[in-house]
Amino acid sequence: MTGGLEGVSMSGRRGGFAAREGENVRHRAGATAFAGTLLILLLAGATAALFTIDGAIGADPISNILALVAVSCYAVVGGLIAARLPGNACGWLLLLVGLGLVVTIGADAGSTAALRDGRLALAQWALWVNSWLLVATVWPGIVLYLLVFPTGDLPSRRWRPVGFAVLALAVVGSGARMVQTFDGEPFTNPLAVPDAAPVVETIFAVVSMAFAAALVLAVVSVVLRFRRASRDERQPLRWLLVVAILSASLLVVAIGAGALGLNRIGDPFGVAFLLSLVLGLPVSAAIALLGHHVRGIEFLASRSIVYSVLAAFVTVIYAVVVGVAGVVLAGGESVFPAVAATAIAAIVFQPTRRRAHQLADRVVYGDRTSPYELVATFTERLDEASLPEILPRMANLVAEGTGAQRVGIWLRSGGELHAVAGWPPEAALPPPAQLVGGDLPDLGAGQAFPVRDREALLGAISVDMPPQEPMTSATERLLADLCGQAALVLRNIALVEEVQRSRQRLVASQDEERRRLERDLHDGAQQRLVTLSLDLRMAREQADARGDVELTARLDAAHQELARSLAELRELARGIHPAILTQTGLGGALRSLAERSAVPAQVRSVPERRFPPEVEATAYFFVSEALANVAKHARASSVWLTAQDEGELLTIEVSDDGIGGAELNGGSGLRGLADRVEAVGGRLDVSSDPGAGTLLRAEIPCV
Amino acid sequence: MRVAVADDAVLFREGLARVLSDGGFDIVGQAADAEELLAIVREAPSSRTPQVAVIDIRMPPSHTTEGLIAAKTIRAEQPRIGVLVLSQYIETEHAMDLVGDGAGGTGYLLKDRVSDLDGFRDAVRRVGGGGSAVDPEVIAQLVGRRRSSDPIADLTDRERDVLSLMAEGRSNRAIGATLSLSEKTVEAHVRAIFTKLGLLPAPDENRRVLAVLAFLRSA
Repeated sequence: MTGGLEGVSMSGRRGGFAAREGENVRHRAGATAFAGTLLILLLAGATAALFTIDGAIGADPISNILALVAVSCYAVVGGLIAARLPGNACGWLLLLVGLGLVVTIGADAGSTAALRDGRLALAQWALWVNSWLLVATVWPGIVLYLLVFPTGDLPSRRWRPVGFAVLALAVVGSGARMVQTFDGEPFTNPLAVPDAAPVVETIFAVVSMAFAAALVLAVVSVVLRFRRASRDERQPLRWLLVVAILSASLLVVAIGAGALGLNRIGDPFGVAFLLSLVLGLPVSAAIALLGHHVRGIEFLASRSIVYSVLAAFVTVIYAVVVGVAGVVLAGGESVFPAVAATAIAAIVFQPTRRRAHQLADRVVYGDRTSPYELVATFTERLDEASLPEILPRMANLVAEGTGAQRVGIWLRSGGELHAVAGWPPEAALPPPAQLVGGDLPDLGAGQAFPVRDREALLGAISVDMPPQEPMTSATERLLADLCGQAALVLRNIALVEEVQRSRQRLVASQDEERRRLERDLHDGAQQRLVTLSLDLRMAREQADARGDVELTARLDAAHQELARSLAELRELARGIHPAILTQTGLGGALRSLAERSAVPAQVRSVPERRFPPEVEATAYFFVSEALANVAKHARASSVWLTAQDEGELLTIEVSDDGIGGAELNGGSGLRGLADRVEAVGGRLDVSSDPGAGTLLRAEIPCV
Repeated sequence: MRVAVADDAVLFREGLARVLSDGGFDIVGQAADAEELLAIVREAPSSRTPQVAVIDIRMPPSHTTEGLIAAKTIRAEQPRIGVLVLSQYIETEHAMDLVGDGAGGTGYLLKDRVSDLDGFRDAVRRVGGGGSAVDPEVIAQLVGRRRSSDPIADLTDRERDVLSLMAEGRSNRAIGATLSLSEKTVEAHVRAIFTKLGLLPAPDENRRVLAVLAFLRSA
């Protein structure tokens, strides 16, 4: 075989060799795993056959039968995982546990059967195997499984001593068991060393305690792994948590009911506890590692947790109330404790149920919001978001609630649907799609759900589910519900966008109006007054030439008055709309502003290209107002001006070295500035810690 | 001296022409926009070619900087023709754009200055003769600009007056006449100013204007 592989590597590409080798390993592992599963199932069958022999099933038939069911489960799941993921120890460990369990049970039953046949030696050796095999296989198997789940590797190198210790404990412990005297059996261990009995006893007691400690450590490792894991890595671990919570609550009920003497309730719960504990490992492994999306499994798991936790809770209340009442009433027969317990349970039932729901949702769905919660809180959670965040948040919520790989939120604009937000947030948004009649067009996604307000199509939610987790009818219903709630949000967004557009139109027409007004002034009043001023001066020259001193003086005064009016008119016109903005664009206009600034202003950089008129006007008035603000409030000695062209965005910063402490809504005119910037779809940021100067930063979209 | 005037406002243009012809200038052409002006400059026989063109900055069709562009075109095509641009607003940007080429024969004035008849005629004459005319408001803005470290603060009031007039493009004699000083005294002030500002004294008046303007803008 090796020779053949080398031949391949000589003639073929290295990748081909590696792939071929990987395939071979997988192939061999699959065969081994299959053989292991088959062996265990055969042994389980044989053991079941032995059980039919009278007495062989032992004193606790239910546990033994359950154990056989569990064995089959370990065999099948372990075999599947080992074949599918041969490099992952989890599958092999499950197989080991299954094998150890079945042989141990089989040996016990076999020993009884052999005894009945009068074959003492066989019975003796069977019991001998039964005595140590559990310690050699099942104990270390389960601890190691918890340590390496779900990756097949220890959480970190620091855990290696624990791994080795478990192996050593298995060897020492099973060794001790091999030479230990049988307890309460009709015959002795053939290999027993009676002289060393106390030593062996002590050794085994120590090993048992060490195993218990190792089990605790293993549980700790699971918790640590969970806390360190990313969202994706957590998913498989959740199922272990489900098993843990389920088992713990069932155990509480079993113990509580037992303590109350209610064996008819306690016993089934005891069985359920064993079942969930023993079956839990392979079942959770199957769901987690084989990645089969079992329809409704999450719902089942979450409801199981809710009900088992509730049962445990009610049991505890009964136990406590009945116990306390028993002490207080000193044994007198009374219905009071039962009534009281029922009352208390009834009162706290609802809050507890809600808590149990939350717990179950958190464990089963993790960061993924449970569908129940998602629908209940969808609009509420969107309300918390600020306007620009609403649609991304919506995409995020839908992704969380459905487990979708990609989510798109689409908004209708005329005859087109535009993707306005998506998840994951870094993914590029798809291009717009043309509407076909009133129906949804192909949005290039797995599924698309229309968002309608009455009959009118407002938008859509598109969803791509991961391949291993296809769309279920439950998720479809969930999405249909969400679309109903999204309608309100999308309608609001559409309204807000309409308001934004009309704001923008207003600003644009206002700018246009200002430009027109300035031009009218320039070509009209200003022009006429300049000409008039010229005429006055010429008249004065004539008066002067004629020697009319009084007229000369009056014309001089009139001319000076006119000159002042002209200067005022000039400033007024500049305030309405600066000619230089139209003439040279933002660069020259901002430099001009800086030169006129009352507080010394330094221009760090300004873009030289032209922008749309409303962008230039907004930027200009922003800087103009900002400089006026600095002069009025900042007590600054310098102010710096930076305008940067970032393609789709024009970023303008005005910073000063003044007293700081400016607030957007502090009544210093910043609100008006923000309004102006927001009207063209931009945003204004203010950072102004007291004593640290003020930085105003406006971002204006310029496409 | 032969002058062409360009302005789309007829009344003002006529007034301008009268002010100049009253002052002894020979009006060789009137234009209502840049194209007409360029036609006059390009097509007139050499005896009728203007020595200086007085141009409104805002003219049809777009009413933005047609006059400024025409002025620069004329300077590029016929450097011996002086150009004096008039504007309703003063922008340092435009002033430097025009005067900053350093060759002289350029001017930038606020339109209102025309009514200071003699001052205006003097400016036209200076520009036509290869000198400069920079509006006092440009200079005031530059001088008045507050700087973090300000050498201008070291100047005496008198020196500041001399600096402003110098930057407007006036000769020592004109400065002396305006401030009622002897030419020698003005020269002494100019030397003192240049030393305080860290500039080298330049005999060429155009260079002198430019150096002062550049200093005012950069500091």
